[in-house]
Amino acid sequence: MGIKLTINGRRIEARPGQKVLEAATEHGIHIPHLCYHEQVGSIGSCRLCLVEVKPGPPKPVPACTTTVAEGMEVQTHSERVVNLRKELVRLLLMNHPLDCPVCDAAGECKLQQIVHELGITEARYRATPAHAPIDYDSPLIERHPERCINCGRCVVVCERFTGTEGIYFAGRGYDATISAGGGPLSCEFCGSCIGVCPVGALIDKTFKYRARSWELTRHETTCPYCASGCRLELNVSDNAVRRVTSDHEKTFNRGLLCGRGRFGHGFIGSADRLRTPLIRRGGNLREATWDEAIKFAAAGLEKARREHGAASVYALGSPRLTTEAGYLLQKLVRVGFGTNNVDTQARYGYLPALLALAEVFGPPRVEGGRLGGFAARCGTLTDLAAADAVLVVGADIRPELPGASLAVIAAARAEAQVCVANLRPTKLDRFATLKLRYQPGGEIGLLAAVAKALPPPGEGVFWAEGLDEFRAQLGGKSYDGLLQLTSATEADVQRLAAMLAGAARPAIVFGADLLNSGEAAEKVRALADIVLMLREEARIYPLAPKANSLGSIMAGCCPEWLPGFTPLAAGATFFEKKWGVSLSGRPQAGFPEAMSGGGPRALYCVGANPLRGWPGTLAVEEHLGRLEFFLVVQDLFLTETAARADVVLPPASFAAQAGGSFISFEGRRGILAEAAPEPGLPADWQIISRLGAALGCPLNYADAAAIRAEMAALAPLTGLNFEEIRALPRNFSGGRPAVLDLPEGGGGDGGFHLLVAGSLFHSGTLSARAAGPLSVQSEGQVLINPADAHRLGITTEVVLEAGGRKNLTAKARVSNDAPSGLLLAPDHFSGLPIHRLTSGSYLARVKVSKP
Amino acid sequence: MLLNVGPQHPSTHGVLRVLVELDGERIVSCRPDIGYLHRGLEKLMESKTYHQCLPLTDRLDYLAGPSNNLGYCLAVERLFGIEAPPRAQAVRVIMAELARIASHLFWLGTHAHDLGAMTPLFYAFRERERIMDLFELAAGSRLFPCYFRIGGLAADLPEGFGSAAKALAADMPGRTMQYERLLTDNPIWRARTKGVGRMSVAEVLDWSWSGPLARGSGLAWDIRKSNPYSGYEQYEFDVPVGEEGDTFDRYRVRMEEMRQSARIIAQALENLPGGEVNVFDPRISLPPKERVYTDIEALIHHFLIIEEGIKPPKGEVYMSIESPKGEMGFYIVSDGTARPYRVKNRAPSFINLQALPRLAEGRLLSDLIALIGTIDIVLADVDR
Repeated sequence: MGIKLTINGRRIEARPGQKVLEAATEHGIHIPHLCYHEQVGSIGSCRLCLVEVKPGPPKPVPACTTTVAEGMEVQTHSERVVNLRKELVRLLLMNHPLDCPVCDAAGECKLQQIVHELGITEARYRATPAHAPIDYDSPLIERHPERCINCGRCVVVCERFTGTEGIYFAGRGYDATISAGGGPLSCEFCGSCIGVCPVGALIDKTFKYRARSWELTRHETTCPYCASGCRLELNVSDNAVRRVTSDHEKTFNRGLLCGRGRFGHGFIGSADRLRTPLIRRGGNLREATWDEAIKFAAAGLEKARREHGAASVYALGSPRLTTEAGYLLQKLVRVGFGTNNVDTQARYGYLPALLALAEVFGPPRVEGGRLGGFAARCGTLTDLAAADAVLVVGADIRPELPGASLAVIAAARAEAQVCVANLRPTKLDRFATLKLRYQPGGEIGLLAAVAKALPPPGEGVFWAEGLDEFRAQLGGKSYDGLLQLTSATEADVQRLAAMLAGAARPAIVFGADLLNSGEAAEKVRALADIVLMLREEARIYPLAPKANSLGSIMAGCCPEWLPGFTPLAAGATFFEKKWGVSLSGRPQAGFPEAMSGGGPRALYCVGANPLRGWPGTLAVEEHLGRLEFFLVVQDLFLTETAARADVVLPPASFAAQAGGSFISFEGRRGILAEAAPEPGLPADWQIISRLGAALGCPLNYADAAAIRAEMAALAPLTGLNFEEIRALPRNFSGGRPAVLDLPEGGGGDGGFHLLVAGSLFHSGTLSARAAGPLSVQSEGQVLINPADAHRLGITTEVVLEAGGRKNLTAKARVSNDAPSGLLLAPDHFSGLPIHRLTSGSYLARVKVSKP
Repeated sequence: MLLNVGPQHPSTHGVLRVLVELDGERIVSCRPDIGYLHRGLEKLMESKTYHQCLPLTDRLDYLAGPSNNLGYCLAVERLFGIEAPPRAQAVRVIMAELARIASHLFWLGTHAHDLGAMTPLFYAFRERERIMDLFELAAGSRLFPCYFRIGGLAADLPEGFGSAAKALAADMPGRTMQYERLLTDNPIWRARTKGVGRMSVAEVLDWSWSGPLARGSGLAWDIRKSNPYSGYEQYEFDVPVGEEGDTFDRYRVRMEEMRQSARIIAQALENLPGGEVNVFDPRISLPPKERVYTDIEALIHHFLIIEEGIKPPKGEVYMSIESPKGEMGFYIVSDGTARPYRVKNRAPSFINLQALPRLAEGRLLSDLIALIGTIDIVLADVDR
C-alpha cells in the first residue's frame, strides 16, 4: 500500500520509506535542489529543497531527508521557503568566482541552473575570498576549491560507492573545504567525483578547454576496457572524442566508471593509429591500398594452404573484437579452411575455467524454456550487490573488473559477510570480514578444505550425483595437509564454510590471480564442487579478463566450442550441415600446443598481440621467426606482432564500429555506437569479410546485426538479450562434482614467483596509448616486497631469470602490494616485456637479483 | 502572347515573376510566380533560440524591420505572459511609426517612378534617409535595426534622438503636402491610378486584404484601434479610408497615414515615460553588461540567456500588429525549450498579392505596373 500525502494540495501516493523529494519528482513536482543526486542519494547539505511540512516541526525541513508519512501536507513553494531558498543561494554565491566563461562546467552547471531558475538578481553579500589554492598537481583531476559549494556529493560517492575515501571535508564552517590531506590526490582516479560534481570544482584535465558542453554530442556506447560492460557516453565535437561521461539515470552502471573508462579514450585519436594498410616490401612495411593489402594477405594465406595444407593456417582472435567479428573470424577458419585453428588469449585462464564449469554443470543452454548449464549458476552484478556472503578468491577485482568491485563494496556496505582469499593483498581486503592468504599452488588445497568443511546440502536442495563419493574422498584428507600452502587455519575454513552454507544468497567471485596462475581448470573444478554443496541461490562470478572475452568465446573463437558454447563433438554435425563443411575429427589444439607440434605456417592475428600480452612470448617469437612464415595482423596500432607482419590491416576503433557488440562478464550485450566515424578504416568484421571473399569464402552481410541474426539462427542462446536470459527460469540439475587432484604435501621452497597482474589504470594496448591513464602510470615496474628488496639490496632495478634465455632487467618498485616471495608486474607496456619470462601461464618461478 | 514580367523587371520590386497572357495589350490571364526569395525562415527559426529568431524577422518585410520585430517580440512576450515596461512600449511605437513612414516613402517613390513620375522619388528618399539615420543612431544599423528585445529594448534611446525625431515629426505634414502637390492633381497620375484596380469591401474581405489596401476600399479596420498593443490606445490618431477602392484612393490613404504616424510620434515623444526599458526578470532579460563583469549572479544569467536561451512555458500564441503593409502576424508554438517548436508568419505581402490576377485580368499591360505598385509588396515578405 502506498503512503498518501498531499504536495501543494495535490494528492499523491508514495512508496513507504521514500523521501519527499523523490516522491515529488516522481509525480512531476519540481523542488529545486543542489546536493541531492539520484545516484548518490540524500546528503542534506545544501538545504535548497526546504519544504514546509504539516504535521511537522515549525521550521521548514529538507525534502531530500524527510521520509513521506501518511496524511502529510507538503508546501514546496510557500513564500517563506522560496525566500529561504533564494537567501541560501545568495550565500553560496557570496564567494563564487566569475569563472563561467572559462569554467568547464558552465552550461551544465547546477548552480547556474538554480540561480537562473530562482531568478536571483542582486549580490547582497560580500566576503573575504578564501584563497584556497587550485590543485593543478593531481593527475587527471583538477580541483578548484573556490568554485566548490561544499555539497559533499564527491565525498559521498568516493566513500560510499567506490570505497576509495580519497577526499573528505576538512576545516569547519566558512573554512570547510574538500581536501585530500593537503597535497594532490592519491586515489584511484576513477573520476566519479567529476561525474557528480554539480559545479566546476572538480574537472577532467583531459577535457579542460577542449570543448564547451553545448558543442558536444553524446553517443552512448559500451566501454572497450574490462568486462563489466559499463555503458558510457562518448562526447564528440568535430568528429573527435573529447571526454567520456556516463548517465546515472539511463545506464545500468548508474553513471559510475573507472579511470580507464573515463580517461582512457585518448587512444581513439592517437597519432600512433594506423590509417592505411601496410605491406612488407623489400623487408620494410610500406603503405598500400585496401585492395592491394587484402589481395596480398589472401595470396599469402592461400600459399600456405597450398604448400602446407589447410591446417597450417591459424587465426587468433581477441577479446577486444566485437562478437560479430569474432564470429566471422571463426567462420572464416571453419568454413574457409575447414579447420578448428582459431584461438584466443583466454586460453591461459578464462577459457579453461569456462570449459571446467561446462564439465561440471554442462555448457550454457536453453532447454524447455529454462536456462541450464553453468549459465544457470552465474550471477549478475545486481545479484552480487544483493549477496549476503561473498567469497572473493584469486581476484584483485578493483583493477580487474571495477564494476564488480563496486557491487562487492555495495554488498559489504549492506552488511554482507565478505571473505577475500588471495595470494596478495588487494583493495577489497579492507571490506573483508575474513582474509585468507595462500602461496602460489595453495588454492586447490584451500578450496578442498572449504568443501570438506561444508555441511551436506539441506533438505529439498538438488543433490548432485556422486556427491557422497566426493565427500568421502575429502574425508580422507587432513586440514593440515590441505592448508599447507596457506595462512588459513582449520577454524578459518570452518568459519568460511559456515558463512557460505548459512547465507541465503552466497556469491563466489574468482578472477585472474586464480585462473592465470596455472591449473585453472582444476581450481575451477574445486570451486564448482563447493557450489554444488551450497543452496541453489549460490551464484558464481567468473571474472572475464577483457571487454569481450565472453563474447568471443560465445562466438566460437576457440577450438573447443562452436558458436553458442556448442561443444565441437556435440555440435559438429549440425554446423557441418549448415555450413556445408566437415569439422569432426579435426584437431582441437589450442594455439600454444599447435605451435609446439610444428603447426602453423601462416597466422592471422585479429586484435591479438601474442608477442607481448601472451605468456611465453619467446616461444612465439621463435615460431614466427621461421623461414617463410606468413603473418597477417589486424590491429589499431603497430604492435610488436604487427611490426613483424607481412600485411597489417588497420580497423576502425570501437568508437566507429557501429552496431557491433561486446558481451560483458555477466552476459550483458552492449551495442557499440558510431560516435566518431573513421573514414577509410572499416570495422573488423568488414575486413574479415573482404579477406574471406578474396579467399573464396563469401562472408557477405549488410551490417553487424545481420551477423548476429545468423548466429542467433544457429545458436538461439546467442540471440537472447541480457534481460531475456535473466528472466528465464533456471535448471540446476545435471551437475556432477569433479574428483580433485589434491596436492600431496610439500611446502614452498622459499623461491620467488612472478605474477603478471593487471593494473587499475591500464588494460593493454589501448590504454598504453591514451594520455589519461599514462599520466597516472606511465611505465611498467616490477613490484617487490620491502623485506625481500632489503634482503637482496634491490632499489630501482631488478634482474629476473626464469631459466634459459628467459631473463630480463626491469625497473623495480618496492611496495607492500607484493607479498614476500611474490613479484608483481603488468604486461601493458612495451618497455616491460614481462612475458619473456612466462610460459603457459601468468605465473613463473624466477630467480631475483640486483643488477 | 505569353509574356514574362520579371523576375528581373525593375517594377516588380524584387524577384517577382508574373506570367501574363496577352491579347494585344489586354491581359487575358496573369499568374504571379513566387518563391525566388524563399529562405525557409519559418523552418530556420525552429533551430534558433527565441532571440536568434529576432534578426530573421527583420528580413521579412525588409522595409519595415522594427514592425516585424515588434510583432514577433509581442508574440513571445505573450507566451511568457509579460509586458515590456511603459518606456519601452512608447519607444517601440516611435520606431514602428518611423518604420511605417519609411516604408510608405519607399512605396511612394518607387510607385510614382514606375508610373513615370521621377521627382517624388528624390523627395521621398530625402525624408527616408533621415529615418534611416535615426535608426542608425538608436541601434547602430539602418535597414535592419533589430533594436527591440523580448521584454524590452536592446538599450535606451541615445542622446539626440528625441530632438531629431521631434523635428522629423514636425516636418512630415509639410513634406507630405509637397509630395501630394507633385502627384494628386497631376493628370497623368490621375489617369494611371483612378479607377484602376477597384476593390469592393466585400471583395477585400473575401481576399483577406488588410492594411492600407483594405482601408482604401473604405473598410476602417486598423489593428492599432481594434486590438491596441504596445499602448496605442493612449495616442490620438485617425484611420483614413478611401471610397472608390482604386489605386488612387489607396495612394490617398497612405499619404494620410504618414501624417497620422507623425502625429503619433510627436505625442509619444512628448509623453515619453521614464524608467527601465527592459522587463525585470533575469530569466528573460539580459542583466546590464557592466554588472556581468562584477556580479556572479549577473554573469550566470547572462551566460545562460546567451548560451541556452530563454524558455517560454509550453503553449501557443497568435499575435498580430498593424504593419505598414497590413496584418503582420506570428503564430508560435512553444514546447518549453529554448527554441520555438513552430513559427508561422502571416505575411501581409503574401496574402495581398493573391488578388493580383483579380485586379489585372481584363486590363491593359501598363496597368499591371500600377497594380503591383499599389499592392506594395516586398518579395522577402512574400517568399520568406
